[in-house]
Amino acid sequence: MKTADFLGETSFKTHLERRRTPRRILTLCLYCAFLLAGTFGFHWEVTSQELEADRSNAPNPAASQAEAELLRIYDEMNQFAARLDPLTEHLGKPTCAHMISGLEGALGPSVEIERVLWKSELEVTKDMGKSVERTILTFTIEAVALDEKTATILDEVLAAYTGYEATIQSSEAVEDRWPATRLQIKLVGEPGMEASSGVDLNTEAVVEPPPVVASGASSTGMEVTS
Amino acid sequence: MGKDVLLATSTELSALSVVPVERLQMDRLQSTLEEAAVKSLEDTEGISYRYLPLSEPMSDNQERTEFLLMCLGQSEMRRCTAASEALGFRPVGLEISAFPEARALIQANKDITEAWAFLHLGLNHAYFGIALNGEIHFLKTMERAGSSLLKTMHDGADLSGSAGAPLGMAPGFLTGQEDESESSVFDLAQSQLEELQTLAEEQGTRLMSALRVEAANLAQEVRACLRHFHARNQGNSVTSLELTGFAAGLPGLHTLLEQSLKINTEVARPFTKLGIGAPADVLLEQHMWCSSLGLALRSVA
Repeated sequence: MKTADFLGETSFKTHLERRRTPRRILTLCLYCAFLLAGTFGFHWEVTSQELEADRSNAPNPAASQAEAELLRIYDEMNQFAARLDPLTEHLGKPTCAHMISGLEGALGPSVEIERVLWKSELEVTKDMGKSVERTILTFTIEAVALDEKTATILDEVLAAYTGYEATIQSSEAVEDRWPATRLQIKLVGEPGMEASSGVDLNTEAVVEPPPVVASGASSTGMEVTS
Repeated sequence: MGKDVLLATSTELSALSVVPVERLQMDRLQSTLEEAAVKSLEDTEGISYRYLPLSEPMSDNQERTEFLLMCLGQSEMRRCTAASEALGFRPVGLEISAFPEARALIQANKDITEAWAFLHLGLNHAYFGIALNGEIHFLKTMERAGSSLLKTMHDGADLSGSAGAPLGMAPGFLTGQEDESESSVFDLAQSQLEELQTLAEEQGTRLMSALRVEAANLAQEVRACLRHFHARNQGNSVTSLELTGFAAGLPGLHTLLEQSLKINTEVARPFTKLGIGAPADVLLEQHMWCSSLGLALRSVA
């Protein structure tokens, strides 16, 4: 209904707005209650997590006993560590026993192996601006070829057997055993590049091989006898 | 949550009038109303006025529009606001009591689609209004107020004529000789009681007679207003009348007005119609609490 208010409508509307204050307070109270409930929930979660952590940190007899046992085992292992470390280092180096063991069979009976020396080296090369390291095995084999033909192909036979690059370092006639020739051949290659073993290029000679005695020194200076 | 407070003040520095404005004068409506407001009151601090159109916006075939003009002296307005602030209250509204009263009655008579009227008979002021479609369409201050009705009834009762004895008590009542026999005392009491009843009936007749004269005068004023409303609002006639204020509770007044006006007349009962619970003494005199109810309903209606 229309009315005539001498104080104007604005003040009365403001008055009505003031009367809505309880509704606003109720809304705020509900919002605060919601936040309070959230806070209590978070507090409850934190408390439960703390209890869980405390339970985890509490001394466990079985775990303590296991820890003591582990420490004892570590102590015992440490006693052998000084001896195990060089062995581990040595075992980490490349091996060539499988090549040496088959070397006699590969060369055949017309060759007498006198000495085998080998060593491993670390070679650093530059590739596309990056330093590339690789391990290189170097064999130095001194052998006596009993005939002239064998002497001429001995380096090829060794290269075929080992897969390495073979170079004849020296050759000399064996005194009083003509036509036998003593050759010193150097083989250079990477471990793992070996050709299939058992290559026997000298099938013509059928003679009993003399007892082979190979001796050498590895890069570690250890004597190896096989 | 605070409570709202009603402060009622009565003043001579207010005026209520209906101002007709011709179609040709509508462009200078404000100045017309301002002139009417200045003429209606005198206040050294100035006059505040508000106005409401009493009919629908002017149509093409309507030559005249009526505006309800309410004027209040600035000094009176200042007095009202200062009084409420002195009591620690913040004034938020200042209305002429006819508006909250009409608001309460309109809310109570929402179901009535025809025009209906209300007559407020306060002790010092009276007004007559007509409501239609939830709005006031007529409002006029009446010449006769509740005090004049009371004075007329008092004079008509002629209380001074029974000096020396309380009203309704015959001379010699209960003052007979103690040594008389029981039968003679009984006869005397019986005759005195009959005399007392006769006096009471005579008194009531005089009161009703005085009230009838006053009601007829009041009805004449109301009838003039009804004629005016009917002339201005073709096709709308008032179907009922509700009485409010102090004098509405005078016994028999609403019956007399109903007989004179030939329209349904009753004492206003807005609390009962709206189903609002209130203390028993308020419900007993709810025709005197219409303004308070209307103020409380301002944000609703």
